[in-house]
Amino acid sequence: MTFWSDMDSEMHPLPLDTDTADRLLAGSVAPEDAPPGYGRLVRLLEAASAEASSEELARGPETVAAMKAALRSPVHRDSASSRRSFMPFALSRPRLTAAVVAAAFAASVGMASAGSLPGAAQDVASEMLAKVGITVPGANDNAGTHPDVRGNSTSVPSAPTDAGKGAEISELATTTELTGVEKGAAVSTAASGGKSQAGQHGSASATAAPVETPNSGGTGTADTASGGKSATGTATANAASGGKSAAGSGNASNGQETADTASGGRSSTGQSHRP
Amino acid sequence: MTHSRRTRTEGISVRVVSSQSAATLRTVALGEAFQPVLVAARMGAEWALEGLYREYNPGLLRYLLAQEPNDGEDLVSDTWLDAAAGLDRFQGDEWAFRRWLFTIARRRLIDHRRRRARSAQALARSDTLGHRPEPDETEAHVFAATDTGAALERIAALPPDQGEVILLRVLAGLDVAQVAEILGKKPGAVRVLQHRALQRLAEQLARERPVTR
Repeated sequence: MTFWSDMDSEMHPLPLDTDTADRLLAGSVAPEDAPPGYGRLVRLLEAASAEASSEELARGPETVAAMKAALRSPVHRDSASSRRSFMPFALSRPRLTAAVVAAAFAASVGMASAGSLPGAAQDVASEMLAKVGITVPGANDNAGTHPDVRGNSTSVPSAPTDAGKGAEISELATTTELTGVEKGAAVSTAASGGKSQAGQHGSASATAAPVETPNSGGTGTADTASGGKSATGTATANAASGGKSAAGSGNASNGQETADTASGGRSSTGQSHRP
Repeated sequence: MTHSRRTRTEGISVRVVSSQSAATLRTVALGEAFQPVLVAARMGAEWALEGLYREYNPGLLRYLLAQEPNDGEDLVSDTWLDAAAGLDRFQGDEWAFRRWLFTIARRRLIDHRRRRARSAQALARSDTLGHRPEPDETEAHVFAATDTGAALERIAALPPDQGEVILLRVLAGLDVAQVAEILGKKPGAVRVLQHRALQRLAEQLARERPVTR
């Protein structure tokens, strides 16, 4: 027996017509019916398309198991060649951020188109979108109770300040007829806006406040620095404190001098409310 | 020998005929049973998946092994995984299924060759750096020393476009129009290719002395 041997092995094959070529490839021509010179070709084609062998189906169980797994999770393809996971819905962090921003922008444009943003925001959106050719209404009644006026940094109303409060307290301290603890309490209360508890505890000390007596050098320096003007204050403070007050150094304001005098040196008015 | 069994699932009774009953790969074995088998396969029925595998794996394996003797079996596995993943999206009859399967196989083949080309470039670069990996050993595939293997080798020795036309026509049983669709060519071009291929094969065989077995 010979392989691919037939009667036309020595014959030169003639050109085929299209129909015959199709029939040969479709397997509808037996070798013995083939045109001269094509019998061995028909056998070759039969061998190429012969029945499946058991070796060709050897991988069946593992392939079917893998197919079942792929059916359960069709978006995850574990390819033996590419070894690449295919997850169409997995978004990286930048993409997710971009998606959120885009969604927020789209929602804002939609609300602006409906004129349902708060008045000021609607006004801004109308102007900004107009620059890119999108026309949306300005602020209207849909804004409800939201502010309709858009402010800016230059129109902020001036806030009250304590700039003039020192002078006010100083005026009180110098003009009040109260004396002693009552005067200190009045000044302190005015200065703290009623929060001071000065004068509620204790009373005017019969003894001198525990203040060290300035030495002569200090007094001399104060006198020299003030051109002799510290003498009055020093004398007053000394009179009130029994000679132990440190006030009258020549740097205290009139208000502090008075307060110190009235409180026997315990008032902190002049220190608390300097502008 | 005819090898058949009757299976019932989800109220569908079908007769599954194994590929061993087919005279050649070019015949349609499932016929009317194809749609019920496809429906069951989509639901993950093992018998249906096995039926599809037994019916179409030999043709796929030969098509890929003829063109990639070393990696054909892995490419077939990849093809089946891709097919299973896309089974829900497939619509059509058995012929359309064949065309679809071989289209997947061909894409796998093209991807494989592209990767290999890139690897070859990387290998050339590594050679210049003094790294020389061990050469791959040529694997003996399932058709070694068989008539089928000899026939496939001869077809594969044709110019690539001619050989692929013959393989698709003979192993998948597709007609000219279907092959043209897979290859992205006009039917007339496919006819010319198959005509040249048959003529060349016939002339080669006529020149050879018969081989005594």
